[in-house]
Amino acid sequence: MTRASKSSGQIALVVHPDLGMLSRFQESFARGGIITLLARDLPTALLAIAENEITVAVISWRIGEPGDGWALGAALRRAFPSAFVVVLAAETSVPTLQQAINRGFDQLYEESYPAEKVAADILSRPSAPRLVN
Amino acid sequence: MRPAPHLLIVDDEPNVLLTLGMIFEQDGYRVTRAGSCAEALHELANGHMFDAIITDLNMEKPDIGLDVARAALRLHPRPAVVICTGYADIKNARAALQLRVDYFATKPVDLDELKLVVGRLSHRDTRLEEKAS
Repeated sequence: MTRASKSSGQIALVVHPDLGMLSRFQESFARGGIITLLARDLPTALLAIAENEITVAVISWRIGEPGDGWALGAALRRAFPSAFVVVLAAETSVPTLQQAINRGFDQLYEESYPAEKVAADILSRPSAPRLVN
Repeated sequence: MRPAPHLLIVDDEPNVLLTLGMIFEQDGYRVTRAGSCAEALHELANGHMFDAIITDLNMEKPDIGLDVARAALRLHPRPAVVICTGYADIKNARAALQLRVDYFATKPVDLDELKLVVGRLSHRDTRLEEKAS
């Protein structure tokens, strides 16, 4: 887990197996003044959740194995009801959108969508209340 | 003692409305039934407080249940919103995610799962969670 950037009071957690993607998210969030925590595996991600007040999370649907990102997102939602939680899914389909809703994600992007655009969308989002599933 | 959670069930299929209502009443919920989107919007506009809303999507017209969800999600305190549909597609599932619907179930609905989800969502203190966000 690595820390980056100066704080605007927000802490983003990015969980993705690919170092290149992590780095692109880190740079994009840094430009928005957000502290960014990076994790390539579940234990590191869980440690980050336990030790920090996460306000934004970007989670790949596949971390160590296919589908484990969904469960991590649900756990993060329970820990931080007001965080903005995004999943990077393999595809946009009814089952993936349904998973995103039912696990408490706020937004779904296909994993091929540019990290910079995902970060830009997140940085410009309006805030709205959400319940915990 | 906390009063029984109040549910609004919205479906244009009378048998579904009757059956779902009976199932939740047997589980100790107070249930209000609406047979159309218009009826549901009337209930929501009349200042009745609901802990959770279960709505069909296709009633007077396709995807009109999203109007029920939209109206419900504007309320304070905000009730939990569950969509049950036999006509899920990418467009309505994505709209539900954008609205921050709490649960999206496809028909035929697994009743045990629905009871579990509604129980979990309707027994929480939504006001505290809204305050936290």
